[in-house]
Amino acid sequence: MSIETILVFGEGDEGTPSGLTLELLAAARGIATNVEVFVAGDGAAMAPELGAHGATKVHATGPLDGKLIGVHAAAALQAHLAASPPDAVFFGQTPDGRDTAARLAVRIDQPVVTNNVGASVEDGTLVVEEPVFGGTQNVFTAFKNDGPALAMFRPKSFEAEATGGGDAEVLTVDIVDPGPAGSASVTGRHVEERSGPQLDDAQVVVSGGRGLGQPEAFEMVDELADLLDAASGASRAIVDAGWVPYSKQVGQTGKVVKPNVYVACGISGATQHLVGMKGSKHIIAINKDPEAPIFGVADLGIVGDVHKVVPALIEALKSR
Amino acid sequence: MKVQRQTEAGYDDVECQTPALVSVTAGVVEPRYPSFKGIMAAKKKPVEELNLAALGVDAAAVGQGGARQETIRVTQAEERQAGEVIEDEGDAHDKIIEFLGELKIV
Repeated sequence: MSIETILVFGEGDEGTPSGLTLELLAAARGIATNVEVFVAGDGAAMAPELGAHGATKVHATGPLDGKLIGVHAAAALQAHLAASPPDAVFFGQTPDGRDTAARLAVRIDQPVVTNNVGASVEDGTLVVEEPVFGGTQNVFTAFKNDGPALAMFRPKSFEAEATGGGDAEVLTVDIVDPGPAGSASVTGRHVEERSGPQLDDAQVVVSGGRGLGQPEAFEMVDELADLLDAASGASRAIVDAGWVPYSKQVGQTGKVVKPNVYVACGISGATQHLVGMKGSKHIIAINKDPEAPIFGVADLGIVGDVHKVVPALIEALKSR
Repeated sequence: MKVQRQTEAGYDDVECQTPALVSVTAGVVEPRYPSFKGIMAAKKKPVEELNLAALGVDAAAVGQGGARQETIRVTQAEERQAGEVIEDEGDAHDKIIEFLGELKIV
């Protein structure tokens, strides 16, 4: 047995596939001969870009306005898999990806392996790689099931790359009655305001943590970020404390970032945080505790008061 | 029931009928810590043990045998090497600018 077809759970916004979706296409292309995409929504608008990234077909439900995506995606996927089973389905580690994969795994009674950063084929079987213990070790898991292997991947695990393929063929997938869970409906959408470079793809990220001492001190993180044309991020501690919105959280339960330069201001470097940023090319850390774990991954570590170093840095950058 | 559900871009308002199963994200509420009295009272609560038969679960469907996936190896992850760590003597910002300069960020 070898890996013939991989179906990627495609996500996106206003007709543009998400970066993670394109990353999954690259990963799938590396091990399967045919890669297709399932979209719980309007697939036609995404088809050209998905095709350019190697997808041959896009199976789409059409708009699911007002419906809870995971519920309907899982029901529609179940019917689709029964009709044309792929060897594996790849999901991104996103709110809807998680929701859909969990529901689908129960519906089709197949195992799902989550939180992966790598995929390969060994002896004709899909093998996925998952970091554990704060990324210090990697566990390799082989699927031994009959039926589609369900695997979820963390963002930034693969490099997206266009193959120059033509438009993917768009096929309509029927929306299936999902049962009682279908009664859940989305009554409102709230998009957090975002300006400037986005955390996911900024070349420079400046993050703040508990060492800032108080919510107002995050302003200097934002100011430094502006001066460096960077996105600002945060550790979980200050997101949980309500200083900044969740959308800024970098770490295991937030965003995974891999910028060229990551500047950690007043962040001690809990495993939870390190997992989300230690893939950065260069890391600068400012923290008053010389024993802080963040210095274990920093290329340049400054043992000092973030309230002195950062304002001095801002002044110096302004006067240039 | 009405919930706010996290999305990639922000959050959605979602409504559904009960009974419903709801999962929450970390940090959603401040946990309420038990009082000493509560801790003592908890010790007297009955603990009910359930086995597979009581749950109606087929023994072949759980554990290693029912996993249908297998850990084939565990490897050490490549470690990131720590770089230079310096004590701020009031001029650490220059050091940072020099570092950023080498990377052509400034």
